[in-house]
Amino acid sequence: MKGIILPGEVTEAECSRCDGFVPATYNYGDLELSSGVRVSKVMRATCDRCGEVLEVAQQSAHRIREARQKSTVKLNFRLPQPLRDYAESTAVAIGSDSRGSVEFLIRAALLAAGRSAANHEILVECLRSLKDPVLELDADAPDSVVLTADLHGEIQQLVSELRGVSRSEVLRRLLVASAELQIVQRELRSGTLSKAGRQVATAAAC
Amino acid sequence: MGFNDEKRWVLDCLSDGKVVHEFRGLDSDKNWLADGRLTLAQVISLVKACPGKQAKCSPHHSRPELLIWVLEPVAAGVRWYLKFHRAPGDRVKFLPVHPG
Repeated sequence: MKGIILPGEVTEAECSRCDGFVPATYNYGDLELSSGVRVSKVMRATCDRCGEVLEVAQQSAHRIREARQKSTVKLNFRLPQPLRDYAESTAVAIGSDSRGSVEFLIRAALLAAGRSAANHEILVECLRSLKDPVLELDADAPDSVVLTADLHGEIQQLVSELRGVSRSEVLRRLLVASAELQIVQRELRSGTLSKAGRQVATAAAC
Repeated sequence: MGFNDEKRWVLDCLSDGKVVHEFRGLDSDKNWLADGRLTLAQVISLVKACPGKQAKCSPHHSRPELLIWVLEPVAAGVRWYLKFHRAPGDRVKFLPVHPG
């Protein structure tokens, strides 16, 4: 069991609350991520003085990934009606339903970006340089998307990389980019999107 | 200790799974290895792809004997940012691991 940390193992780690290096003990417990996602049975080291979680063992990375994939986040935003028309007509053209088409296209773009770091960079560059008249229109139609925490993490990453661009604007640009990028078009044609949709539906039902 | 020695050491740690991660709310966008978006094998590839000129180290602010390494390898046209230092138990402790 190379690399596996057992409960009770003591280490030393920096604690921001105690302001220095402190002894810390590994044990299984809950972990709350900055996104609010809670993960159970994580091997983590807590400060022996204040109880703060200081370290996480690599052996728990898969649990964190699974928790991020299962939990969902709902994002409300507004978009111009012509952009929604585009989303609905695109979804219908590939045999899907117009209902939920905005979410469908946004998930496709985010899934494509998450496939590889190269895809992520392609999407970032596209979103950064995107110019389309539809983006100049009033965003007067309310909409919402439900994303897994994993895909929500992609959104947060995009917002942080596209400094000065709001989350709503990133969502609108994702819809426009979905029409232009081959990586998104491939995602739309693949079967994985419906699988992701099922994951969202399952998570929402839970 | 120079970069080549440190590189060999961190690759051994990654191969053996002797890896821990700093937790500060575990910002989900900052450590792709801790949240499972990257595998150990993928990080091994990134470290292997890092030449000395894309690595630098500096002493920890409150414990100068502890060296903080920053690697910025480029793989498939993407620059990555990896930060780590040695931890008790001959483990490597990662801080951020992310692209861009």
